[in-house]
Amino acid sequence: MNRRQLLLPVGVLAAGAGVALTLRPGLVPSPWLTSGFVLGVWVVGLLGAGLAVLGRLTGDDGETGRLPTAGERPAYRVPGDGLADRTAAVGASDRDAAERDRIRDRLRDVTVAVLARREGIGEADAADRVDAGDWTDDAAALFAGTDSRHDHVETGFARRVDAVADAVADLFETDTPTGAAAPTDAEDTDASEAADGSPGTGPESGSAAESGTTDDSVTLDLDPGEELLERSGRWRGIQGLALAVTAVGILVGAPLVILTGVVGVAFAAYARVWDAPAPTLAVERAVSETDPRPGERVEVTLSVRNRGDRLLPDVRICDDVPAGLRVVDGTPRHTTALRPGKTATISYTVEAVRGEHSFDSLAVVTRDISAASRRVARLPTESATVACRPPFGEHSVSLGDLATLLSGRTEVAETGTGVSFHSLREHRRGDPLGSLDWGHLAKTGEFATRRYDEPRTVRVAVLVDARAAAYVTADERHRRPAVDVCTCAAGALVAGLLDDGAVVGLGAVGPRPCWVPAGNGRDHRERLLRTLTSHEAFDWQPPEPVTADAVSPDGERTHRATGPTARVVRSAAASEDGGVTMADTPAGGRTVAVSDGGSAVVEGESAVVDDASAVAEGESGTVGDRTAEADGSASADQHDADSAATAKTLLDDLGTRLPADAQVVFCTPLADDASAAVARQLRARGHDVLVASPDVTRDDTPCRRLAGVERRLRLDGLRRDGVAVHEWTPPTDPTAGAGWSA
Amino acid sequence: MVGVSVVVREHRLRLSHGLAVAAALATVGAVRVGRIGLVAGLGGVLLLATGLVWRSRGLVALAGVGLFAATVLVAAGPGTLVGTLVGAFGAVLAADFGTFALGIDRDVDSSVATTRVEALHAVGSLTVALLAGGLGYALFRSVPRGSTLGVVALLFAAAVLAAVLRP
Repeated sequence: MNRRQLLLPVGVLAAGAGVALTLRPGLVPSPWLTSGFVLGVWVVGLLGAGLAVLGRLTGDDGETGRLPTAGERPAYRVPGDGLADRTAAVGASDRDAAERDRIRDRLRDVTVAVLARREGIGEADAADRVDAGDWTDDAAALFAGTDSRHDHVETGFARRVDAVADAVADLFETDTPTGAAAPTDAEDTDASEAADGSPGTGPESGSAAESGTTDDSVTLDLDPGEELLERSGRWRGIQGLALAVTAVGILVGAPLVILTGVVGVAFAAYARVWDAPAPTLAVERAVSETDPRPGERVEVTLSVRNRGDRLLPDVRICDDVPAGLRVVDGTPRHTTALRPGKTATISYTVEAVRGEHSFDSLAVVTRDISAASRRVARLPTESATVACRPPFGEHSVSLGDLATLLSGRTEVAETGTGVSFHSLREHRRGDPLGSLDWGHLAKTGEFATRRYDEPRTVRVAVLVDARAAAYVTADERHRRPAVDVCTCAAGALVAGLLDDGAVVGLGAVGPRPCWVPAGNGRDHRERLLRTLTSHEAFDWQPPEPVTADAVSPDGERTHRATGPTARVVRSAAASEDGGVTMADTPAGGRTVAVSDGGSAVVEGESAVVDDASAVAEGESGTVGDRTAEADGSASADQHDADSAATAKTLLDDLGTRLPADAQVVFCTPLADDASAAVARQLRARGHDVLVASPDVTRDDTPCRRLAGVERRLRLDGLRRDGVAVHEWTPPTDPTAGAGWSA
Repeated sequence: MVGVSVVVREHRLRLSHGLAVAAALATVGAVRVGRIGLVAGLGGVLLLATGLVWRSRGLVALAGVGLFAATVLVAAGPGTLVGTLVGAFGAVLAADFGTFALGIDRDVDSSVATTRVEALHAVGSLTVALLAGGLGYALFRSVPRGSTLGVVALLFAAAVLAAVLRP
């Protein structure tokens, strides 16, 4: 028997008694019975008052009923914010001692590296100095040494972390290394601009803080077609209020006070008469431009018609604006009342950026007239797509520019059918007569065969770091992730290399794998640029964060990503020029087309791809600095081993697809150690590697400064290991391209 | 290059804001016969205005409770039948309109016109208030003196049955 079945007879009995007592006031002769009834009402009244208070405290129009926000890009993090968050979250008690030590270990590793670099000493000596505490005059920064570990209450931890971060950054910035590889002039210029935050190219200092923008985004966790009916709790407690005032009225003997209880009862009943109506809506959407250029404004018009036969007294809608698009005029959220057959039309304008953006759903919240009940739904709609391809060719990087960076790496020892003379060898049976050197025969009387240089075109594989850790930004206002910068840079490279006749392949390093085999020609160029425009690997929405780590029986750590983005079905499609183009399709998700429309799927297989390098940072879902931030407990060696294992996992699949003789250009913000490890692994596999790294660090907080130092250390480490590096400061506006210049 | 504007949430005076304040003032008018009630009522209005400006649902709900308490205080003393009904319903309506306005503020931008939705909601709530107030008035007038227990029992029954209407 449920609560309603219990209450129904109670209510009927009370109503009967009320009618009887009203008509015959003297029906209850015993004063004891009257007192007992009054006492009962008092108890119920007190309970009612308690319920009323509790109801008001908990019965808020909760988050689930809120209309989701839209028209803003995801709130990507700035490198270093993860450490700041961890530091802020760590407590002073002994329970958090392990976490404090992990953070301290990370600081110590950076301090040792910077000190060794500055003083030109070994890391062991630098570690001794850090432990001895004579590397800085700042007393607060001395706790980076291992001797300062505490397993008891420790206060002022965040302040000291900031002090260490600032001291290390100061030490690094005053550094004039003698032993480390010096950056090129161009790199120096770029780096100094980044550090200064110079206008035009650098991050806009303090823009987010000064503008007061905060991330108060609300998301709707429903798939298209799903809906949820719930009580808003808006009138919760009103019955308790009625009972409470009734009790007060009896206490003071005032019939008028008892009468006020009518109010509570009336609205309690009102709130329970109706359920929120189903959103019987027919939706039409139109976009003013389906293939705009970056920065062009696209007007989206949404018409919503009530196709049901009931009034919708309160319908709130929010168009699902794709992740990368930003609303610059109007609003995608609207509220109205719709009679049957009536239509509401809204329009808003978005600014086009790279990507294939599909509008295919709509968030709807309907309420009944009392607003006590609401129905939250995500309605699937007909898809409208805006495909914005940046003019990659306009910013292309020529092979000559690239060859400067990769100088001496394209010579070929093979001989073959070229035109450039290489050498002579003795004639063998079967050698073509045309290759016979008649002059040599005339001079020596011996047959000899001419050999020529083998003409071989440069093969380049352009890889983009598309892990969750690469979704970081230097500008919280424009919210341009490094993945977009890297993708635009890859586009410029691809266009320039193909123009110069190179054979170019394209891939993504991350949990949403993408690989287009090396090729050339017009069709191939089109395929590569379309992939960079529309493949989900380069989406504006970060991939699903890693939710669990697993340790395999042999002790090797693997990091398994969950969620739909982790599972992919890989299909191969024959391309027009005889090559094979790999396309990746999320299982059960939308198709991501890479090859031309006419290409046929010839095989398919399932694979679970791991993104070992990512871990969620905060509720935005943006991920960063995983290796550097999450594994602080490990020693430096263990830390390096973890990064190497991560890189190996990332390259398990992609590495086998790279042509053995391909040069690799790896576009990455180097936001964590795993990205540097990927570059090293590629080099260890025999590839010539160029790391193209946009600088998306900032220097306006101690932890951000520290993240910038860590990135520079990674760059220097790569240079020492023989990896060519090119860094630059990208524009913060996503409509401005990569800002790449070789 | 297209500049990206920072979203600054502006205040927009909506119908529900005005109705909430009007309902609160009606309550104050109804309870003005008692000095304590008047002070409590004015405090409720102040709280309501503050809640609307600060967009605090808690403050608006608290204002409703304050206005209702003012009505109860006056009803226990020099209050009249009509004044009590107007004060009580005005208090609840002030909180209802106020929280509704804040919900709309939260869900849509200030540029969106929402008068129709607000008007429909207001009409619904006012209708309930008028019907229930009329019923209460008739009940109070028709019930003979001395049958307080009967009224209490009826109220209790109504509260219980209202809870049974829907889970």
